[in-house]
Amino acid sequence: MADGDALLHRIRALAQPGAARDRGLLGELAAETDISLLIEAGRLLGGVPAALVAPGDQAPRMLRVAVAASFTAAALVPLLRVDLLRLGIDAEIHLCGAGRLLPELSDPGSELAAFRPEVLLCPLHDGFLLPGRLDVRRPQTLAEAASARIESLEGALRAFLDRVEATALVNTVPLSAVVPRTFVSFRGRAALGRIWREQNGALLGLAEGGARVHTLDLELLLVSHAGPLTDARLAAFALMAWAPGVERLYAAEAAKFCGAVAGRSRKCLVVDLDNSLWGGVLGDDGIGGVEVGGLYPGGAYLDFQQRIKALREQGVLLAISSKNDPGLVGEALRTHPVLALREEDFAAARVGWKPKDAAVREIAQELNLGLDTLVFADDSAFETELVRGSVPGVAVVRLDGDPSSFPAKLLDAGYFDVLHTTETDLQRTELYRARVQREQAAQAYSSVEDYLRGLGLRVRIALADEFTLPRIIQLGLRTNQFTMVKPGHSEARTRQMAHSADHLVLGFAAADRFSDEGLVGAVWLALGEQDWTIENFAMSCRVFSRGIEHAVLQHVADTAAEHGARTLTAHFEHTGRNGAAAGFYAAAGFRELGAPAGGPRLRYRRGLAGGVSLRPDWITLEREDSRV
Amino acid sequence: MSDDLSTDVIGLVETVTDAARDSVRPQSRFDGLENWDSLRALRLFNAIENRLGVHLDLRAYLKVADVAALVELVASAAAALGAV
Repeated sequence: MADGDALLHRIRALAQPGAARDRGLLGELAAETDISLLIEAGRLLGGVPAALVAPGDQAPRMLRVAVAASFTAAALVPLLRVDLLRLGIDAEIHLCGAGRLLPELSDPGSELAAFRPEVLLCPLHDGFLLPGRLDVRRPQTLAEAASARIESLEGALRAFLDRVEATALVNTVPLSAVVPRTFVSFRGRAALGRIWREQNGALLGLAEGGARVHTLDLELLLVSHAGPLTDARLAAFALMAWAPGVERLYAAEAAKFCGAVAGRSRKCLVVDLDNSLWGGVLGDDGIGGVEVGGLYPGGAYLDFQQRIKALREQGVLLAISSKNDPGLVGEALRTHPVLALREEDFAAARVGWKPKDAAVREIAQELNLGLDTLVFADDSAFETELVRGSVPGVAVVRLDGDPSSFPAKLLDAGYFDVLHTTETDLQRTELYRARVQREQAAQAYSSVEDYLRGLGLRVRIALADEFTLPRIIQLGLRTNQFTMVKPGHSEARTRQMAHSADHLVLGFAAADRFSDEGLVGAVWLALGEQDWTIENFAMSCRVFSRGIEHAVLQHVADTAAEHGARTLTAHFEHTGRNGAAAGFYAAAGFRELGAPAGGPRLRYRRGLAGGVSLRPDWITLEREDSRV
Repeated sequence: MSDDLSTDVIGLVETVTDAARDSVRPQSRFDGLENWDSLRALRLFNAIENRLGVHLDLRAYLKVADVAALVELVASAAAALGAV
């Protein structure tokens, strides 16, 4: 008891004025198994400034999260708060009254609607789908009742999401064991089971129907959960449908979902080699002597490599950090007969004898990524503690124990979770490697401009459409360096603007003689009679320093002028990470107008009379649509 | 009953109700505590079970009117465990 109270005491101290940062607190809470303690901790953390406990060096991201459950879900709020803080998210959490899910969604004047959540969590329990009186002689009545409830839920959700720009999460519903036991026949239970799977199938199908509804497969996650689904006493007394262990699991998964909506997904895995990707030490055992493939334990290492390869195939960048001879590692990656990961799977590598914290920083810099987008995985406690201590913001995974446990250790935390993957994600490693080739080619030219002319750069601009919107939304939310405002436009808002007559969302793609980069940036415009406003302009850091942004800005100015606008206005605010974009508008001849009401958002303006000349001569611009 | 148990239970009551340390006494009535409501009652119930490792009867718990009666309830639950 004493340790727990000490932890709560620490949190109460953080709520006092002038309190100092407590970097270790969330890490200690992560190891805590007493859920009651976690609930008290989460409750008290509601009164603590998030910056005092959030990891890394970036300011916490604000997020409005609503919990509208079909049961009494009050305990979810503090559990969610802790998990969100660990992701660097400072949440304002609104809890709807127990079982008021449908009325809160349907009523345009509800408290839920007034709260305007960015994320809407709808935890569903089995009571939501089960009719009041189960007719064991006719299980089909259960199917009818449950389908009707799901239809009502779908209708209410769609109505709500039409009014509020939120992204929603429902879940597949775990069934209390007493329900199948109420049937005494095996055949009856099988019929019930079939019906229940169909209902959960329908809930999973809700996620396919719309862009802003997702379904957590909670039923599947609970297969590996060791505790009971319910505490029957609390369920009977207070409609608390789920036992604390299940609430904790749900909160952890919901937090990962919020992280994905907020664009906090990590982008790069930095992994060690010896005793991480294979058994043994390459330098001692030789290429033929390391354990990988075949029977245990080699098979377990190979399986781990295959899981990592699957990450890379979905857009996660891979990098190596290994204390080894570089030549030997290169040879191993090229010639070992059995590896699932090869040289071309890695976007960067630091193989040598430098300390790994320096290596991790160098990898981040080479790939132009923030430290808080990296995950570092290593079997060595020395290396993991070093990186954990000296490189704040990097997520650290210790690969200790049996190699068969490595996939779970890496993947369970959901560091790379996103809402969808896009075409660009699938090719991200190839695009980074092409960039390396480009840089190598650049060294062969005497002047940068000659080199740029030799690239044959083409930029294609088009209106956002159903195919390009996912990538455009991703660019708006996840770009940190060349972006003009924070946070970027939400998925819901971007879609709304793309369909609005008074707005334009443009995507631009770039290609040169080395590769077709695909969609690399987007512009969000508000159209007035006399003035067009650039609400945001985001571009991938992969294509910096080629003048693409100037060509696109030229195009926007030309199009605005064609439509009769006299001025072009642009928004900009310093986010702490977008220094690369800070001088963009000023250098393009825009005047700074200052910030309305002294807020952080600056406005720039440029007259369009007389035309604008910004496009570099080495870029060819193609417009895909005469309207744009 | 042990002083420790009484101290532990009172400590949990203070934590769950955000009461100042040492402000809750054995004779304190729950309905007289600031911040007392049904959700807190259930949070306290879970906290006692989890942190003190006992299994309580919910019906008996809901009838308890003051802290001393709660401590007695927890003590018999603890003794029942030990009696096995």
